[in-house]
Amino acid sequence: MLNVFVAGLAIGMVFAAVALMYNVMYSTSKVLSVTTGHLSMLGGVFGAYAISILHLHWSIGLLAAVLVGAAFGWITELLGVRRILAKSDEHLWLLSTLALATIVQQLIGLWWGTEPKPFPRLIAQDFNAGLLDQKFWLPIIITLLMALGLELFYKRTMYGKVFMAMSEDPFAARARGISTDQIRQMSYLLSGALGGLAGFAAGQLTFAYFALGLTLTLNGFIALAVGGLGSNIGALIGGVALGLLNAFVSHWFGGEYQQTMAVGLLLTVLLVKPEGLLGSRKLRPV
Amino acid sequence: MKYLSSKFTQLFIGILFCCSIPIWANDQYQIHIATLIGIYWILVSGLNLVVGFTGQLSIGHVGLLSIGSYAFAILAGKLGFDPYLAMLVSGCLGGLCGLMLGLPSLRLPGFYFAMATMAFSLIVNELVLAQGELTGGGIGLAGPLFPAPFESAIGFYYFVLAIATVFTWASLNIVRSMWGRALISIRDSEVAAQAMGVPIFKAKLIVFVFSGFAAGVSGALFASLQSYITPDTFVFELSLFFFVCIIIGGKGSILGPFLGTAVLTALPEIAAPLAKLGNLFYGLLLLIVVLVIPEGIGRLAEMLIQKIRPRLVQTEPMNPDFSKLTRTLANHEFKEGGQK
Amino acid sequence: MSTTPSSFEWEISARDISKKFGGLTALDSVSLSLRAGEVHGLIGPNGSGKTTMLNLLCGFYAPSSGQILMNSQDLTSLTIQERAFLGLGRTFQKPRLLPTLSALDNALLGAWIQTQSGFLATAFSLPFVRKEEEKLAELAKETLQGVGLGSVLNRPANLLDHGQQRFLEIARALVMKPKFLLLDEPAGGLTGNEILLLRDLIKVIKASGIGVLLVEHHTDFVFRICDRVTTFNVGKMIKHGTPNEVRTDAEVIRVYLGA
Repeated sequence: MLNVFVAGLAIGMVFAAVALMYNVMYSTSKVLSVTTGHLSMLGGVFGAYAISILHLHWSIGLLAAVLVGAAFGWITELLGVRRILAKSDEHLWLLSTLALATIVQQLIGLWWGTEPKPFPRLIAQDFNAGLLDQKFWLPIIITLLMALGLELFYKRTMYGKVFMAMSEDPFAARARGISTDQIRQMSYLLSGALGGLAGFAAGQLTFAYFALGLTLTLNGFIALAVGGLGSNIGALIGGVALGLLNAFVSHWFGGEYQQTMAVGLLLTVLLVKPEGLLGSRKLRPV
Repeated sequence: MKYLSSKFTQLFIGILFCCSIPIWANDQYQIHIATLIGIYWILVSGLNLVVGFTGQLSIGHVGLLSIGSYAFAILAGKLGFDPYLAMLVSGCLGGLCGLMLGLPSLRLPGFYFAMATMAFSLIVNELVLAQGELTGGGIGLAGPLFPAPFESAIGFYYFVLAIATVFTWASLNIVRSMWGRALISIRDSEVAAQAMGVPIFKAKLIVFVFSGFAAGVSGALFASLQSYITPDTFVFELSLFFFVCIIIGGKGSILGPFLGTAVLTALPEIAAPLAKLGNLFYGLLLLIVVLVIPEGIGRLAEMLIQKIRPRLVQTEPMNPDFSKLTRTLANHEFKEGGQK
Repeated sequence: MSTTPSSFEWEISARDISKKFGGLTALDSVSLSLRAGEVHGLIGPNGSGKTTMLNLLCGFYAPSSGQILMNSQDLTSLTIQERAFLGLGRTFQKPRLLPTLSALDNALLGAWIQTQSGFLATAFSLPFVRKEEEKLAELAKETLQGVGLGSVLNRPANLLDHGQQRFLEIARALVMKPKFLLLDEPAGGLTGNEILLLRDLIKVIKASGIGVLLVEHHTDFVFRICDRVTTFNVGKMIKHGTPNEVRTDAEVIRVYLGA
């Protein structure tokens, strides 16, 4: 039973990480990007590539994962968001980020292959480590650090406060001389870097798999919606709830109904509290 | 009066052209492609009303296609029902599932709705695999043929053509009517739609259920054409394909998405390397269209004409006829409509 | 069934309406009424709550307290669409038209509340659907000709100039055969000539028995054609009466018309 709990907690933290990334990008652009899950996928794939194939040290692998994630985050903003926000059609960014997500998924599939490949051990550890296996604890710890880091960033640093200002009132922010374009770029870079990190940490759990992006985009979104758009604590709660639900349902009923259960959870929460558990009613998601 | 208008004449000419295809087609394979285009178009014509006219970004219709296909394969294949009846039931089942999907999700804002539809398509696949006894699980099911004269390739082609014509005609009727205007108002200005009394959720739901019915029928025909279906056929990327057909064809058009469907279905057959890179190509195409010509390739022609011979906003003074207005306001009696 | 306007005693009223948005009080216990066949002007500086009032009457907002009534029927809990069916038509501060559709199609949208044809009936193009479409098209066409847009029936709305768009919005509302027409700053951006046409148009609408609420900035325009005028300031009503009474009121002059 404890096994199931830890496994669920771990995968839940991966979902929570994606939800955190959604929040970071949403705060400065009011856009929910379909590429969010793919940023993590890239972290896992490139991390595995650097370490297993190129036989580089894991710190280089980590760097590669973060850099690739940041780069794709930057591309998302450049191609998927910037030009689109200038036009008046609301839903165009859904199409552009969907297109980018498809493109990157297909390219990775062609290059890396369509089979999930194992992610290397980062710390020397027996494969029978059971509950203490790093494949569970790496994502849990990294996601918690991410959440804490973001909290400190928003509350204690200048840039963090600028982010929050922009999310509250972009017009006022611009009027105060803040370059909202630059801030938005930065937030996508940051989100991408975090994604790379999260994907790298979760690699041993999820494997390096080209199709992971879409799964994470969807499940990360469910975590976000359940926890409440705009709330980082909500992201953690939503992610953990989803992860645990997944794990226990699979344990009791077999793994065949995972997606169904996940969406069931989402719909139940949305029916009762449409803005999510900790979401603010004011924040109208686009 | 309406039948003299150009859209229906275009449809008629198009049908004539399509009827002639088996005559000059080179081989069975080309007829197969033409039939596949027709089958996809049946689904896309319904989805077009949802995406292109009502502005609801549904990316999960492959799930409804799958439901239609499996329903047909089970009813007509496994259980030996009459294929025509099975097809009808598949359509109704598709409509019912459209209702079940639409009820909770159509009230959600754009991204939420899109994710819900995507999740739906993944759930359908999950359930198909899980209910192995019914659906053959990963192995799949055979899709039976229709009885004579539709069991031959050419015969089936004409059968699909006939059904596709009915759906196209129905779409045209909807689009050029009060309903069409109501749907477009939901897409372009929900505020105006509300002020004019359009029941937004109900209208979205009705169109969505109709698109589910079309997908169900399409699924039945698809199972028959492919003669064997497995869950691998109904991947999310197929939903993306349908969606791209509509977006590149242009919103607010019937001809555009039809040409989009025809071209995108035939393309991998003509350009072999595209077959492997299919999904990458659709992603690139979608990105280019969204960034450069969001109105769709259908509008590209208009845009080029606009550049060559710009049609300026002409200003002529307004010339009211107030006595006519007085008569109009007094005369036409108000009869309350029923579309609440 | 032809009736003379004055035999209809329709009245729409807002009673003791307050509207708060979070901490901001947009309207503070205001009342307003609009009778059939009158033109009622609603003026006030920016942010005084005029458009909020209009939106409350139509149902786009729900009041924090107070009631909206049509004669004795309580509208407060009715949706926007239900009020449209009861005879409330409106235009918007910035015209909300369907840019890709023609002027005729845009005006026809107003006929939705008279549409009997269901979705399936329309899909199969049943004869009564076609007849209804023809009848409603005739109504829309005549209305457009009446307001002066007869020459641009088939032009897409995004190719119409601003004045034409404003008149198109009014025509669309008229096609609804409303009892009340709520106009949100209809003179905004119009040329002098167009304002004169608008004035005559409103007179014709009033003569047909429709009650017109005119939310406006052009105070001259308002005083010239209104039967009654109400002035708002910072969410409160400061004066209500005939145009002369309002125009000469000291408070109104101080707050709005300038010293």
